[in-house]
Amino acid sequence: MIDREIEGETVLLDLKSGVYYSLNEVGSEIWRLLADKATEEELVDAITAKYEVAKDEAARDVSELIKDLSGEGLIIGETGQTP
Amino acid sequence: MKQESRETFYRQYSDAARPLRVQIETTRRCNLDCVHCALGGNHVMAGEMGARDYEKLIPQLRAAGVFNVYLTGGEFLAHPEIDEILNLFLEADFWLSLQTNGVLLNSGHVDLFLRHPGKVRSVTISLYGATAEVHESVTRSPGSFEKTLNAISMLLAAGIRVEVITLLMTLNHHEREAIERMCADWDVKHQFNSVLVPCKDGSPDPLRYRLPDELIRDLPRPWETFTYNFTDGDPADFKSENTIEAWCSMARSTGYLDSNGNLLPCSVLNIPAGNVRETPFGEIWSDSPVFKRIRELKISEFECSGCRHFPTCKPCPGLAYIEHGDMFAAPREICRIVEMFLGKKEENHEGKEALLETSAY
Repeated sequence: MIDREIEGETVLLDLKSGVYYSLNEVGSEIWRLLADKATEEELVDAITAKYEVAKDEAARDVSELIKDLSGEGLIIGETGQTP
Repeated sequence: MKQESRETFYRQYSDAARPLRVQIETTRRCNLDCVHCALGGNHVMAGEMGARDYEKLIPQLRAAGVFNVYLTGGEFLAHPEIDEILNLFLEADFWLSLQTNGVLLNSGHVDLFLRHPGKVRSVTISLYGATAEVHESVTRSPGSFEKTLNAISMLLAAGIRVEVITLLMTLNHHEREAIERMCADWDVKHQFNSVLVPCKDGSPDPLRYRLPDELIRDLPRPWETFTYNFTDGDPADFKSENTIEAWCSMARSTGYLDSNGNLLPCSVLNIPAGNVRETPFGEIWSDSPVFKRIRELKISEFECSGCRHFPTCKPCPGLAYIEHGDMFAAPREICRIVEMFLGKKEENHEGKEALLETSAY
């Protein structure tokens, strides 16, 4: 998997399937933190600190994105190490 | 997270004029002496980019959003620092496509590719015959056939995707089907091309090997491509006021870097937009008047737009440029090939459906 950050968004390319994925600004922030091995809790804290969003909502968004990334094989496991 | 189809993604890059793929001529050196070489044979260009130059360039390509780097030459493996250059691109997470005659490929290269799983998208190998005699009548390099086949075997054994390309000419056209059978046995994609162009310095030497009309008519297709069909395209994209992006990605999502660092729109349109050793890649890509003008080229500006075969045949400004020094002219060799091919279809009373069936992929 390779990624590029372009104008605030992140594009991921799955080298096995050749499928492209795009992440919005918040998703890109989560992706960067995942690459730094942040835990899910740390992700929620980081997102609530940076964006005007309630902790519950941030937790839901983070959990959903991790599930999506994991489901597509873009991260390893549900707590998310980037490959 | 949004999943994008490849077509949608490519379209987004093209619409935003964002570089997706850059073809890089690492060197004009070559270990073979092919009769049709558009570069006119083995050259060592003064001021060739070295590993240190690529070290500076790579972060610029990443920052601009480039995913795919296509290394070519000359023979890209003939660059004296190629091992280091390959390593730099693989370490920096590029999806590499490689174009080679395979002769210089060794197990060290294959091991390097295997240390970066998936990052070598494909290796395209030039094969000119199904026998040593014919292949080497083109390469004029004894022993090259066996070495090229060895490279194919090595790559396939390592699970690396191989594609084979054959330029058909008077010396080798009779082995096309045998080459296709070899590729089928290896389970690799094959494509042929029958468009021979003059040398970049204007020399017409390669043209003597062009297939005559009667042999062009015998081809199953005018040419093949891995990426789009001869007849592809939505008619709405081909209105005269539209730009040419429906079939030509130059300066919109693709560019070509020559071995001296000049950024060109494509491999044959030799109009430098700037040099990456003097100006950052992203700046040339976004701001150069050459690229800006190319992005604005309208279909109506091209001679081909008035032809009865447009847009079945999609005119290549680069081929027109290399053949006539004028990108707006009709590329006559393409016209000849298409006329022959479509003429045969018309004589056989075959319609559009038959033509579509002959599309390669």
